[in-house]
Amino acid sequence: MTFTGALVRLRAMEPRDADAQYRWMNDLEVTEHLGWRYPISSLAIAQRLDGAGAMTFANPRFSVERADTGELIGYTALRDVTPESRNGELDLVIGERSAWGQGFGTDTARTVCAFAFERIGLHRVQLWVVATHAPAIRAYEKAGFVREGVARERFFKRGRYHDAVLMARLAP
Amino acid sequence: MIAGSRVVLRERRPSDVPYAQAWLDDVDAMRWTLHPYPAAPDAYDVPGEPLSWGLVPLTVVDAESGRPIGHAGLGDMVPEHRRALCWIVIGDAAFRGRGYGEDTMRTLCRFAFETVNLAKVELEVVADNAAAVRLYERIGFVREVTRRRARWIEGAWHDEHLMGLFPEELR
Amino acid sequence: MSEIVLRAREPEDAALLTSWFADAETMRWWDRVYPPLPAETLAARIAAAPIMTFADPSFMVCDAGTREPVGWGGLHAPSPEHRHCSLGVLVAPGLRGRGYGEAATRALCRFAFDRMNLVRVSLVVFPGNDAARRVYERVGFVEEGVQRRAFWKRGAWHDLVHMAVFRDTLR
Repeated sequence: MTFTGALVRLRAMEPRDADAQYRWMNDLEVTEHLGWRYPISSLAIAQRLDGAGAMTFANPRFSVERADTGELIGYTALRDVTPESRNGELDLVIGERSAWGQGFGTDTARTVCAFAFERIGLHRVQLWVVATHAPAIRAYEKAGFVREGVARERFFKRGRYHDAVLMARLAP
Repeated sequence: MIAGSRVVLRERRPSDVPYAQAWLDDVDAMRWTLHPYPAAPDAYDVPGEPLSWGLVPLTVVDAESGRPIGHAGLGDMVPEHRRALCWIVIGDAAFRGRGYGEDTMRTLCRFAFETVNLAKVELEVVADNAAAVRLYERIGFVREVTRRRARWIEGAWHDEHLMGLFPEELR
Repeated sequence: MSEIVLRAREPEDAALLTSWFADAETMRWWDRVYPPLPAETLAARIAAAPIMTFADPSFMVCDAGTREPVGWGGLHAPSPEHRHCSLGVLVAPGLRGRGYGEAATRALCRFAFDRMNLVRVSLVVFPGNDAARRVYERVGFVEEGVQRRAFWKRGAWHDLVHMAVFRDTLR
């Protein structure tokens, strides 16, 4: 089963996505704005994908494909989803550089929110984004996320501290 | 039981624990000991097994009264290179500055060489702990390495000395 | 100057790593006493802990152009309180003298400072290993002292030179 937006399609992660994920997660430009900081082995990626088959309420995660070409361009996930407060933390990476700057991130955020609110009934989806990552902040704003606050120097990366912006979207 | 002139080093006993708790709570005694966290109630470990190679934690008692006054020991023993790290703490403030520490250290090193058959005893000490450094040098320890800004203690960086002692240097 | 990249280890790297750590010329300047783990055991260990964490970053050093492994590097015993760690680096037999060691040492230090938020990296080197010492000095390491007769190897005692570099002195 897939969930389709205007530009992207979300499907379950599969073992065949391993090579692309390995490339993205070891690409310094891709991980520059992420909390991820250590190199990751292809074995670790493979193990993550092996366990990806059975999606549950607690850990929905998807590979992101372009709706037009079917090309794999990223992944997205909801973490720390609790049934009581019905909140989730959004992970979203467009790892394929050729897909940057064309609205795929915005559409992925919209599509995963539609899944979160309509499909599994979440109340709130939130995320932290490093304050210097202006394109991501713009993309999330376009997808309906609201800036709620700034955590000063929350994030250490590339030798210095950065502010982190908390953004969230509530169920309609 | 290892006899010095003013102190006796012996195995740790459950009856030492109330004394040890007072030492571990003593800010002056613990200031330079490199443990950044408050001691748990069971921090003074009384081994359930007989002492053997590897880690030898001991209680220091006043030879005259038999009162526990601190602790000392040998750890991180490397059998191939025949060296170990040692530590001493005179926890009871009434016994500081009166030669008990020096006697403890000398007794501990003699035990390390003569009984454990170590070839070298080493220790790590914060450079600003001048009284301790002087004491170790009186016994014969040599400053070998000064690790710059290697310790963060009470809001400031401190250098740390690695000091070493060979049997022929023990005074 | 050879460009390198650091990547995570894979189980398939085990045979190569084991062969390097069994190499006589490598081990001449290395502080290991015993032969390395069998490749199968090492592979199983890598497979059992595939995610790198603050506690034990260990890398394959690869040529930036060919992506072929040219060495190994590790950051050991990182202390979150004192914000330092120690470093080990190895260049594959047959690939020495091409600048890989210097590039890897620098990259490992950058990793410790910029990604792990540490401020000090230290290492030990045997006094006769002049090639390695020159590399470390070029990267900014400064000698902090000599640990006397710290290592028993091939029937004799050897000293160990201690060096360290800080975030603001890395070159």
